[in-house]
Amino acid sequence: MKHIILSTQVSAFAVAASLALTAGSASAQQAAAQPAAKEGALGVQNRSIGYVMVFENRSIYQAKDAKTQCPVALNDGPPEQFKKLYPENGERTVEGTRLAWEGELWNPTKKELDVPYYEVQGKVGRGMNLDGKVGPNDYVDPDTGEKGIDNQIYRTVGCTFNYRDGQTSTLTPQWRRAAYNIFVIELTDVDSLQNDDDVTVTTYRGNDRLITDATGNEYLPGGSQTLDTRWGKRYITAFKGKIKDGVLTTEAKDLIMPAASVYAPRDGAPDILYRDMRFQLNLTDTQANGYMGGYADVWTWYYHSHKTRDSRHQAYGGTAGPTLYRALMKNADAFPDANGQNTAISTALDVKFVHVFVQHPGAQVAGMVNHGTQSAEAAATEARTRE
Amino acid sequence: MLNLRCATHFAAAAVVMFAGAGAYAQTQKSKVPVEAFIAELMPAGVQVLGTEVDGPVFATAAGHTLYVWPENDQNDQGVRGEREGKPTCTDKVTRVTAGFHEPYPPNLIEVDVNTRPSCTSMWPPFLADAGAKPVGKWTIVERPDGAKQWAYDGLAAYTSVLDREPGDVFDSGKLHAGGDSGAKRKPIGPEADVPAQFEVVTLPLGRMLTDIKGFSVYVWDRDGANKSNCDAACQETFAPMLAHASAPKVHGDWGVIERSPGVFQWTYRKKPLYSLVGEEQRAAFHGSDIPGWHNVFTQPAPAFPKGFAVQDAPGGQVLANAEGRTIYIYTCIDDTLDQQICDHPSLNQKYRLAICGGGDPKRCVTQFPYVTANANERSTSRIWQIKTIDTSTGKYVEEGAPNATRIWTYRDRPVYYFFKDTNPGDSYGDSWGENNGWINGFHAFFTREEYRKQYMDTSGSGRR
Repeated sequence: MKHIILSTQVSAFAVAASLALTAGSASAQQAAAQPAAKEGALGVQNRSIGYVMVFENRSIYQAKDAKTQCPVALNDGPPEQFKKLYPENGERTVEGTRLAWEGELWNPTKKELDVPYYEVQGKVGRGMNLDGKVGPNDYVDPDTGEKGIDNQIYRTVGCTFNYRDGQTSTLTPQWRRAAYNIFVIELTDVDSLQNDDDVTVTTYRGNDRLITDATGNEYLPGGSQTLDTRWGKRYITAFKGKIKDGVLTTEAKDLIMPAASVYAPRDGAPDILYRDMRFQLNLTDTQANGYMGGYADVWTWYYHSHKTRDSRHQAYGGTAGPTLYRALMKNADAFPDANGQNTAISTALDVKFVHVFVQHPGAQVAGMVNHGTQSAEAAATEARTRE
Repeated sequence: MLNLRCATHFAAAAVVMFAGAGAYAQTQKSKVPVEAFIAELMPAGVQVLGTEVDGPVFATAAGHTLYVWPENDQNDQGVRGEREGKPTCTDKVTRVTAGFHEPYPPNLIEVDVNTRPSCTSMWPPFLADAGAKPVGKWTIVERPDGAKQWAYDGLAAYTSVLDREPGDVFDSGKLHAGGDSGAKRKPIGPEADVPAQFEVVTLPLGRMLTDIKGFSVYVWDRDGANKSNCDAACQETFAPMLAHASAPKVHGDWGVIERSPGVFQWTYRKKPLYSLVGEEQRAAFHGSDIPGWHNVFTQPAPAFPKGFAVQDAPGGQVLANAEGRTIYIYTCIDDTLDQQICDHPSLNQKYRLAICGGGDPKRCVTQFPYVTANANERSTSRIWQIKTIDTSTGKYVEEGAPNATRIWTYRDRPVYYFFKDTNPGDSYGDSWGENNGWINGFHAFFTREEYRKQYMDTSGSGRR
């Protein structure tokens, strides 16, 4: 539907411009707060602005000397643990080794494993103070000195190569390029990007390409994103927020984020549920950078990591599922279940967004309305009927 | 003219037996109609049968679908399968793993090794008679034991013990698998009889017509029989599939209309064909989202059992039960040189039990419950059948046996739910298992995949 997209992209500019031009008549106060909009201008228009995520990574602080954080060693991965758990001293069976290991990975138990697991040592770490308190397990930000940083994911995986310089760390920033993962935020009720005590931030999945420079590596503001309101309904969440001195902060709410691996061959539901997620972003007309922080649901976080990267790929960076799961459950620090076991673990994401023109779907294009309601099965049924 | 692809087939076909056309009165026939195909030279004793999902296949006189075992070297993990002219499947039982499946080492003793079938027990070679001569794409290759075996396009041909009736394709079918899914056997058959600018792709919903590049073609309700009503405004969105002036005006289901002087358009079953302008995803259903427009199936797959429904999910559309619970399929292939499948109830269940329950059958049934069938429900086709299974062993049993439960099966294998799916569209059990679930794991039953084709494109690609 290229021509439709092109049409909507063109109309996005036109609609945004026309809406912005009419904003003044709707509210003199808004008009006074904004410069007159022109076609294609970036920034707030019609009291709204959109951004698309172009970078995401788990906030894992790395000291100059890794030994201060991980004095013993980095963690073993699947091959190393396999050798320790199933030494080559006799006949080894598939059932007694590989299937035992994979069975434990996909169906972890509380059974102790005779292999070590190393957590980050020290008190320095990045992230957000999620609970407003300073607790014994909290970290201190190395740059700002802020205390009370809640980031137990960092404690759990900070001594695992995958999350430091390994593939998980290097591939995660690419997630947001993948079609499944296009993540858009739209700020509405915005009077100013500097100070506004009442704005709404709504998350969506987007449908369109990210725009890059000629190298393909740098993302440019000014593109458009048609919102996915059909397949991506579960990713739509509205947060109330405020802007102070150019920094957006929001209330905390549960948020599902699409998180397909760039290598995942399939598109089931590789999503992560974050409990009490919130934003802390430095805003400009063209960018929004900072943190998203909350409590990752352990179940979705753990299985996401293995459904998108299997044992073979996890082996490249020392991620061993069974011991990882035990550590996640030990360090989980929120949302206890009926048995008192915490089910979520504090975390922070380093994120970067660039400005996009948000296009809400449903507009009439090229003389046709794309209702987007007919299923593929309906097409097959229709074919059966015609048979 | 016999087919639309290559007129030379006509002359050849005139002197040999064709397929599926009643050539062998004594042969076993499939109950499924045979989709139109391009007839080709075949050895005596080979026929073409219709199948419910995989289109026309070559089969033995007894009706057993024929397969080949092409080489697979995905992800540089080692070459599996067979090369042209070199059959390797023998009656020797392979006892240990080959080490294809990283990160696990080779030489691990396979499960149930004492009862493990040999390769030829699973896939009997399609042997050639002593006096057999090569014909068409069919040649004769020598097996390691000196026996002669038929080969198609150079690859040795086999049957599968999993197929029981003519038209069964209960080994590996043509449906696409993902990732490194091992070297599976593939059914072989003649090409679909479609014009050269079209293809037929095998999808869970049936055999769907696309253009030669794989993009979907569509028909419109407002068109008449052999008449297009798609005007200039309509053509901004749907472009007529144009035909050369020399294209045959009528051939089977195919035809050509002159939509304006000197401009010809293909029709299929008397409906003019179109492409969706600017479509970027292959085998997509985006045109069908516009009311009145439809994808085109040369052969739709059998209807889903009553009560099953397709529903939207974050990745597209999945099959679900009436309450919206997503339905899953289990896939397994082992790590031996044989590349034996391990996802059928007649075979060992230890791979599945490890993944769905850590080896505990009860946990398996809790986490991946079988899709049960009511007492008054009946099988609806060969691929959608009701069977009775012993839930404690995962083996098919007779009705009334201990632990026997009536369940739905797809392609002769159980289908499942996942215990964490609570809302319609949830498919949290997808990609559950080894290698994203492709070598030992579960996948949601996707009927429409919106994002898969773009997955490997990390260059900033959006869905469209």
